[in-house]
Amino acid sequence: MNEYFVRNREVLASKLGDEVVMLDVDSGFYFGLNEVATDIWFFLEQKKSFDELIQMLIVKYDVGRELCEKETRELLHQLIEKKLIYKI
Amino acid sequence: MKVSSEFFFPELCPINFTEQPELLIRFGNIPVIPKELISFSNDFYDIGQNDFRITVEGVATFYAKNGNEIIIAPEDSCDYDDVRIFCLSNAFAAILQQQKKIPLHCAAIMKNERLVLFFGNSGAGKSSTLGSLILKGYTVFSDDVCVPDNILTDEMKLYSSYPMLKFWRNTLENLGMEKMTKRRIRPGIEKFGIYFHEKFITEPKIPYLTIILEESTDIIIPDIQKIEGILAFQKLEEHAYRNEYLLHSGLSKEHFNSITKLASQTKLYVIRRPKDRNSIQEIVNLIEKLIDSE
Repeated sequence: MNEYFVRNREVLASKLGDEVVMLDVDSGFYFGLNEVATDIWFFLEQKKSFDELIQMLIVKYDVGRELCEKETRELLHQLIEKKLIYKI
Repeated sequence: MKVSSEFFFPELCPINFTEQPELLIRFGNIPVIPKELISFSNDFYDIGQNDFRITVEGVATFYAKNGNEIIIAPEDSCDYDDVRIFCLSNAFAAILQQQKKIPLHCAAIMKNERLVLFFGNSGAGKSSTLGSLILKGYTVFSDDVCVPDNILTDEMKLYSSYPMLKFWRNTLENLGMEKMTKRRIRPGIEKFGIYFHEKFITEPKIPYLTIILEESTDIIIPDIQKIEGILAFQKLEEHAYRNEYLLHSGLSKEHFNSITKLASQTKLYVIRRPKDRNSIQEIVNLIEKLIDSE
């Protein structure tokens, strides 16, 4: 698949322990990310393809590809909806 | 902050200085703020990036400008104690905000040159806790406001606001402090100020421990819980700031940075106390144990 993702640079983020809290400067809303979402967030500092993302997650979490792809799609969808990342 | 004022503020610390004051307070007519500079307005106040006006009925109108000037237009037959207290709590807050310094709504004591901060809603026990700790010999730093140093260093430092503790009469009586020299803050209100000018710490200090005080109907004895990460951020965000008009001046980024700095720099604990029962001694014991162990 040739989809690429990158994070939104207008979002201000701060790492607090294993979690990340972020502020969308335009809306003034705060968000918290859990461990997996945090990993994705840091990984997407540079644009990455869906496959590269899955590869990283499979290795880190020792999980099957099919499950990983399904759950990652859902998570990416939420992150895009909240304008924290973009699909390019 | 070095302040030059036409109007005497016994709450502030008198000092001699020869450089230009950072803030000038004077009496005068209140200028009209041009509409295009106002970002939010209601019956009581107008706020712009560098202009802030608030009218307190029966007291005065205050105008804070450019982070360096406060103009006061007192109303006829106002009480000057009222004028000062509203100036300190509203106009000063606006001035700090215009200077891009965001006051945190917390009390603080100092231990080994570092700060323990106390956040909590009114009624959660901040004053009683602070009073008890001071009576036990802890060093007072601030009554209810600390201001971050806005120099971008690795560790955030906080300045105290001014050397006056504020207590309701019941709190003073519960603490056994009612005989201390005190001054009624505003006419008609049972709240008193106790000065600590000779102990006032004017240098900024580094906070290392944050305690959030909450009331709860779910418990019968006070408890304590360490919090981290997003929960710590959320709790701080709930309690850190007081004046809702801060939200209207577009300072979200600075608030965010301030809270995240505090959440990563200090260890955070929530202490809950049972509502409707005086458990101040138990809370102070929990706090002393915590301070000794951190």
